[in-house]
Amino acid sequence: MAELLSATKNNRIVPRTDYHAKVTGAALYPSDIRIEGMLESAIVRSPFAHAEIVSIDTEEAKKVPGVLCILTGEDLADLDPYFGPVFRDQPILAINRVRYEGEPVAAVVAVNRKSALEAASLIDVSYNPLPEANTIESALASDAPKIHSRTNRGSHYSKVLSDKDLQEESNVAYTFDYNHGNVEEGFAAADLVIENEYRVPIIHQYPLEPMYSIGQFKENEITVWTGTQTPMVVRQDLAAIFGLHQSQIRVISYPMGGSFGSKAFTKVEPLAVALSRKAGKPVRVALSMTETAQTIRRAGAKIKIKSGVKKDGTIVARTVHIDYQIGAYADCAPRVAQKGGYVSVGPYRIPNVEIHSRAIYTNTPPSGAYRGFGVPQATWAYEQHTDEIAKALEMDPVEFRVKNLLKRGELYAEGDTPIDTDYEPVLKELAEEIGWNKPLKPWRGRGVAVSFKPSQSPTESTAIMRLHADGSASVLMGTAEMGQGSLSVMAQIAAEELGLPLDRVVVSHPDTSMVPFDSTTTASRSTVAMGRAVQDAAKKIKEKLIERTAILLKAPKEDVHIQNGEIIAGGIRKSIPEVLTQTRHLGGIEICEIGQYILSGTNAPLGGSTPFWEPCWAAVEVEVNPNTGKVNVCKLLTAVDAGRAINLQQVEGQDIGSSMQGLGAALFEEMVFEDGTLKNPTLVQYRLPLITDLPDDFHSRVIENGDGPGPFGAKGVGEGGLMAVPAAIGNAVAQAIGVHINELPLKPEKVWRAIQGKERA
Amino acid sequence: MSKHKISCIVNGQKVDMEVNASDLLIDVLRDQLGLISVKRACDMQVCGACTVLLNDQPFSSCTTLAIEMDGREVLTAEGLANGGELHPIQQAFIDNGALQCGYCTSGMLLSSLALLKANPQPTEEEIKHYLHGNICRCTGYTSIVKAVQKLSVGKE
Repeated sequence: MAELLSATKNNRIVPRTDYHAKVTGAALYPSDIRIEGMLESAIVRSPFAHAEIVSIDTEEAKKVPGVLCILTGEDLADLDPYFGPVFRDQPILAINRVRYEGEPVAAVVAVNRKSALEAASLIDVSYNPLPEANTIESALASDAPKIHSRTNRGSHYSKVLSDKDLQEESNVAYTFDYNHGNVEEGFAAADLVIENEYRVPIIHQYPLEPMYSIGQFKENEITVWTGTQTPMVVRQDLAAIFGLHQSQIRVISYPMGGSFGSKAFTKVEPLAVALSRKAGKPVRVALSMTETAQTIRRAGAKIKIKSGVKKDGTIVARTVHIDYQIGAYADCAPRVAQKGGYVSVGPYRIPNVEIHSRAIYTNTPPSGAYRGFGVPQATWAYEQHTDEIAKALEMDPVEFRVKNLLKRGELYAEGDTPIDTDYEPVLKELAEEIGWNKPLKPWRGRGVAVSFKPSQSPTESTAIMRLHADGSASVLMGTAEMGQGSLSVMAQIAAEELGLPLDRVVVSHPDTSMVPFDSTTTASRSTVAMGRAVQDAAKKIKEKLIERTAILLKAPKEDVHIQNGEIIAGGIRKSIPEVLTQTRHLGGIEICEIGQYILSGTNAPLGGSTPFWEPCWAAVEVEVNPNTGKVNVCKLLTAVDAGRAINLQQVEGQDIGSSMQGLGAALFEEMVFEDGTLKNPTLVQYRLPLITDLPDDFHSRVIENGDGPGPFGAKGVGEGGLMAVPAAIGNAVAQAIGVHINELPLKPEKVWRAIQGKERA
Repeated sequence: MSKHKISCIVNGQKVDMEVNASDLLIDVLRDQLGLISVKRACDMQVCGACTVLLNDQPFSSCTTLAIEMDGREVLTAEGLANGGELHPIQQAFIDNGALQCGYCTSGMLLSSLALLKANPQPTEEEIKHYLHGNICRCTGYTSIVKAVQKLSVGKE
């Protein structure tokens, strides 16, 4: 037992089972999948953010050699052509109306991509432009055009979001309110009340691999080859659209070239199937990077936050109004607004709290999941606000935080899981390491930030494990691989629990026709939820194998152990194949077991109590060039609570990678819309973090107390950096230039203007 | 459309083939030669995922014509390992955990190799400068720098 986890901490690097295929170029990604007879496609997209479709002329396009068919909204009449995990509001192709620039209006199927693109360019769509609501403000105006006139309950989250959420009278897609105590009394008792407003722009997840899906429609049978974090949800949507049983639909999710939330929930899969239905052959939908950015993105946000504090630094009341700009279709964004809103006062002990969170439809591309799931937007606000309060109280920002941070065992909200981490010592350690109290050179600043996020509940994962006749094992499970290393971690968990060498365990990719149900690969949940299901199955196999060995050898069960793939009972050593063969009459040559992890609903504000809290800490030092406003992050230190790192190298990798995305979100990332039109739709104009942006000193501290609910005490990780890093950088820049900038990103021009403004003042 | 006969060495093997004048290198490598390690991403020479080496020089195959292969040696990630033995740069990436999703990895490996051939002992700054045309969204780059440093002559 514990051979993989027992090595000293520094050596606990277990090379991932998928690394060899990935460094040799053998690994198959969704973009590498080819199906015999497969046709290609191209999409015609709306140039308007909001318009009525007057007519679609496909005559010229049909004449292009190699074109098989063209699909428009009219072809969808015999289907129930809407999808979405919260509301089924998104059509496969626009029907009569387009609601954002880039919305698919028609699609061409051809023998190759070139012909499909040529034909798509010849489709003549006539539009009648409508008034647009592109921003939070314009969407909420009393005369705002209504983006949706009908809403249907969606697939995945219908149990989580209650009936009252269906709103049809305004562009507010969803509202989440939470309160405890009495904020009016709290503010009345405060010595100081501070209010700030913050903004977070729309950004894109930018997975390196764009979206690819192949659909194959046959009578009573659908197969989809894709890359999705949620194969079970895609299956659910396809069943509703095409009127089939879930058993008739097979969704296969291949390891993705990055996702970060972008490939969670249904995207182009229904279009691929609808095209195949018309063409009579498998059809691939291959998006470009720009098209992927037109398909999904992160919600922008406007946050008003108000706090009442005592002179001694005790926070007594806080209100938050957070509006998420979600785009033209809901995707999972109402859930983002619910979850991000829920924790938008931060991990602090505040007796009087009032939160109003809203998801606002606008004529922009749909927004969905992105690492942090609504929490980064809230954290940007409350952690900059925290520094503003500390400044007003003339208190040290670290001390002020320590005074108010929740301690292990305290409740954030009634009914939810108590806080399961130690904020204070970790924050103090990071501050010490960044040199918090050391003198600063001119134009340098230091900043810290903390944040936290609940994982998913209610939730469920089921895994099947099979111990084969030769002593090797297969795990069938539905966790999707997108780079986070779950395939490898599940193999480690199975091997560890059963006592097998790692190379004897093979873990399946999600294929809904073969693997048992799993909620989603989201919310940093897989290591805990699917990990526990895999461990449960392995434990049951181990029990049966030990029992059969005990009967075979007439030995007490307590004396039987499995080590490194061998069975040891007293002085006798037996191989697993020997025992399986010789006890075949006791249960077959193969032992097959089902493992499960299920969390039911509770009275917690989100409808379920989180299995663990995902906390994060960041401390940074920046240098600002006063002549250009350019911010250089010199030091970036973060911490991640892994409970127990099953693969230490991968935990660090998750935190460093997430933090680098946080650096990008802090300093340059922004999708720029002008009148609903995306002005920077390619990587030439949209600036991502490069290797040259690396801070000189950049590392992550992994905390391990063995106190998580996952296998061997593990917790989920991977989202923290993107939550805390932008706010920590913001606080450091504020110290360097003497004024807070409340709107991301901290681009040179914005920083330079802030410096000029301050000097004038 | 005019066809051109070209002759080149791809991952050590002599290849004679016909390409169209307008064929892109990425399409010929992926679709005709089955070299799927060459990854399509930005299509505009920004991200580096489709990097291949032509005579030891890195090229973005998404914006290079296939005809450029003529008379040259082409190296993709498929050609790095020697039989069952990984190339030291591949092993260094594994040892340092310098990949997650792996989509940038082929390009990153080949750019690193080109750097090390041109400059066997790069400083950290030189590594960053050389690799700044290869975007990685997963790792945050620190492990990639470490992996390349490991191969730097005179270091461990």
